[in-house]
Amino acid sequence: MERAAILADLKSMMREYMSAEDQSKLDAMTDDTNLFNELSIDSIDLVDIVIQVENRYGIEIKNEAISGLNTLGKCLDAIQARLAEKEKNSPG
Amino acid sequence: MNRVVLTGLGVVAPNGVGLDQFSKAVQYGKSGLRFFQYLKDANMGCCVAGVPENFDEKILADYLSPGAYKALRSTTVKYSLCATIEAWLNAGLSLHSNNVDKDTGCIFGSGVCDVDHMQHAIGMYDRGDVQKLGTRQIEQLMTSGPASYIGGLFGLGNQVSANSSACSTGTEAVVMAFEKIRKGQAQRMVAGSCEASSQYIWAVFDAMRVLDRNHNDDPSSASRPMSIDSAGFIPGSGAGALILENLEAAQKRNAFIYAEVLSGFVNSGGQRAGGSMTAPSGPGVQSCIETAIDQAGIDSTEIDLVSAHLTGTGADRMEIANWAAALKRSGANFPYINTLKSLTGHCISATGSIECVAAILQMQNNFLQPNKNCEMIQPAILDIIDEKCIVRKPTDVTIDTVIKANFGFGDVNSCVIFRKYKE
Repeated sequence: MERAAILADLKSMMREYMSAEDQSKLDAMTDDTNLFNELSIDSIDLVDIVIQVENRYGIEIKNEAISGLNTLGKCLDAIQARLAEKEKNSPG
Repeated sequence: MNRVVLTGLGVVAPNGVGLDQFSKAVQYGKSGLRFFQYLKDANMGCCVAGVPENFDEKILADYLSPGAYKALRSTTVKYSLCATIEAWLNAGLSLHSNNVDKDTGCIFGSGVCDVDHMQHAIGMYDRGDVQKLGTRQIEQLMTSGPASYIGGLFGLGNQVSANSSACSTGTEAVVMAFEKIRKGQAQRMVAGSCEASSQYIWAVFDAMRVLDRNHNDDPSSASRPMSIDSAGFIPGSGAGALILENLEAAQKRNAFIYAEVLSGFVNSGGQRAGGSMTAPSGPGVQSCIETAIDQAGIDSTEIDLVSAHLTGTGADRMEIANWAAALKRSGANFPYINTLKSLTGHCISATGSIECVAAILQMQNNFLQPNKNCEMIQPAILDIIDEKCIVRKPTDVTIDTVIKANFGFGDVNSCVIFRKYKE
């Protein structure tokens, strides 16, 4: 799955956890944007976003990996890696 | 010991959301009881309940993070937050401080959590959807959930906890907050209590056959404390919140003072001497009231109004006998007595805090809330106190001192005495 498509999905999921002011920053987000310091997302919100991601893509993000997902780029990397694993392990 | 005053009130009640609506409803005897078809569909005998009407939770979007607001389901948390935000602003206190306020705490109780919300979580578990539960379930289900939300909202750095003593919870919270300030352990406390709007809570009382089943077609007449034909209480829900403050601290910031809290006491009848899990012990109730009066340093003849527990069950007559014995006043010498439950139903753990707010509003504005639905008072009650003590029409009268008590399952009691503030 294309990174741009995942990014669009992720922004849509994150929007619900962001203040109106921070939502306006979504378009300017880069891979290095810090979710906790630069956006109004806290660690509990992040877990809820991860749950949404898991349900959306049918993947599992390990608990121990979640706290490291502090930037947009790391989130995208993790999702792409789990999707690649899923594809590799799928029959046929 | 410090003098303790009340500087802020907030309320989410079946007959009024917010002080303006609620005050008018109390003064003119507006009922907040309604028929609910879903209770009938569930084979409940009592299909009437008190649920805050026109409750608008959207205000909470301005105070909670988007994630917390999105996940908010529990009516205990919603009611508690709305009542407390109103009380906080009513007290003239500021919001959105980034500092921790070590001098301010919160005791906000509940009886059981929002069981409807619990059922939602259990349903997901049963369907194997544990991983979809999300992260914000426990903070809404834990007994200290409302207190924790309130503590976070205002940056409270003193004690932040929940108390629980069934129908005594709300008044007990006020007494606990009073003690904390009186002893100098806190300068200011949020005190309050809440009860969810949950058919699962009401159902267990219906099964005990303690809810009225005779007025499903006439909801506003269903709650009938002291009436000759009372046949059980009507369940209710909501939250009340009060800001208690050290007098000096209140004066320093020129806060409006609703009343002084003269004393408060909490005890148990020990489930002996007539007391049980569900019935209050007479000696226990009387001792609680007598101790509160003694600690206030007043004579019982100074009491103008008894804000009673009186639910509409068979215990009403015994409660009045206990009041008369504890106050050592009877007949025409008994003070005015009323019960908010004829208008709101019995809001269970929320009842004490909502009734404290009602009592303060009556004292501040010098009116008596009419006792609704007791056109014919039980003769056994009239054997103890004179009929003129039980007003049934909106009445203006000077009230300087009010005594408030609530009694709960487990044979637990709480009593508090408020007086108009005088320097």
